[in-house]
Amino acid sequence: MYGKRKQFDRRYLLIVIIVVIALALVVLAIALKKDRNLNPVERVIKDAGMTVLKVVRMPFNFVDDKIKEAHEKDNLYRKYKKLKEKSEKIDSIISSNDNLKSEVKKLQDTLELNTLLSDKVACNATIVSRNVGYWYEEVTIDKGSKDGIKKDMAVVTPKGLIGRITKVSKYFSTVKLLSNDNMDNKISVKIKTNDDYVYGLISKYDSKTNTYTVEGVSQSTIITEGASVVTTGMGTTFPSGLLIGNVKGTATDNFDLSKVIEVNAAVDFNDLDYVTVLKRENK
Amino acid sequence: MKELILIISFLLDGVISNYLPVNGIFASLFTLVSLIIVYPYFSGDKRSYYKYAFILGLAYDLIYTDTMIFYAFLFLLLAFIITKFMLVLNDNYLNIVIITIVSIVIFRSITYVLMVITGNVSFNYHLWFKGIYSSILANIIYALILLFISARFNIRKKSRYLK
Repeated sequence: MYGKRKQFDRRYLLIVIIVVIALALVVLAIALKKDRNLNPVERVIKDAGMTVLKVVRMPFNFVDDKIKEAHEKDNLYRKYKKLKEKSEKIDSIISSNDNLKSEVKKLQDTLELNTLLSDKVACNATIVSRNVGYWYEEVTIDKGSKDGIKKDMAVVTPKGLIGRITKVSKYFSTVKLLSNDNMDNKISVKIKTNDDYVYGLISKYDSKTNTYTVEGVSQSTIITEGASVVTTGMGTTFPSGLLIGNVKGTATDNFDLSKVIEVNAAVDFNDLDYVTVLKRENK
Repeated sequence: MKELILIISFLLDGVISNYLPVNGIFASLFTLVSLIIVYPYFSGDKRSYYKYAFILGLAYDLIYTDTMIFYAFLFLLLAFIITKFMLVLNDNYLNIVIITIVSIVIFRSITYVLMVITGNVSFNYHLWFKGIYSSILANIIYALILLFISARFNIRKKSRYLK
């Protein structure tokens, strides 16, 4: 009789252990989920903590800025020459841009199109902390829901796309970088060929060489080295026309069916300070 | 004093992260290191040591990683491991280095494995090892600096370091 009872107890214990493990996994899955909405308590604590961090960071930032300033003062004349050349061209670019804008507006009106894939509104932000959790490839920026930031907005630097917003509190938000080696949501991109675009998907990022891999491009297309790669605006996350990088080289896939393209990332993920959050404009 | 070390290390974790490359060979884990260094300050009061570890982990969760209670329990586990180690190992520089390395390996491995189980990242040996070795060097340097400072000031209750 005693033996039977012991056996029963052991089975009971096993079931309890399995249930506990299952529950722990569920809690873990919820806690570690990337796209989770923060609850109000979390939001308040995050805001408070990040504000303290921002204040603590100020003297470090000051020194860092001074060092960067000293570096930038190098070769001033050469830089000035370059800028002068560029600024001479800019007037004509602005006028043609204005012209194009008005044309697009007219065409939009005639077609009764409400939104364009490339419509966007910008909001500038500073990075407060970078990738503390290590596996997450996330940075925190100092703009939050108060400034109209919402989940899934695209984040760029002047050089190109860096990621998207995943979590938002009142004064701060978290950006998931594109630089994670295992990319789970593929990004639709187009590559400039002679007079047209070809479409493909970014499937992974390599942190060693700072390159993306674009897959699903038709075998017959000819792609030149250095061609620019931009987002298409298809899907819900990114507006179109955000620069991803330039083509580094092409190869065929294992089955000889499509092209695999190596793309040099336009952004240096190790040197991010100031970013811009883009919002797709919905009228 | 122990609160000061913990808070400064915690904040430094966030500040330093801005000056380290995202995918580089250095990654900070100063919060964990400070937890190892402050152990002698508790002079054997394990209960309050675990309490501090839990609160520290909770702060890490809420402020840095946006995970609810994950790091709180992980820090608790590591505090347990550290207390077990401290019973066996005499706390001098070499032993602190050993404990730091072991803690980092455990910390990174558990977080990585759980991230893989919950489907946040896909498994890759190379990434796993990179996560471990990139953390070790910078954090050992920080541990030694912290140990040196606290031993120099000679404020610790059981000043057994540097003997």
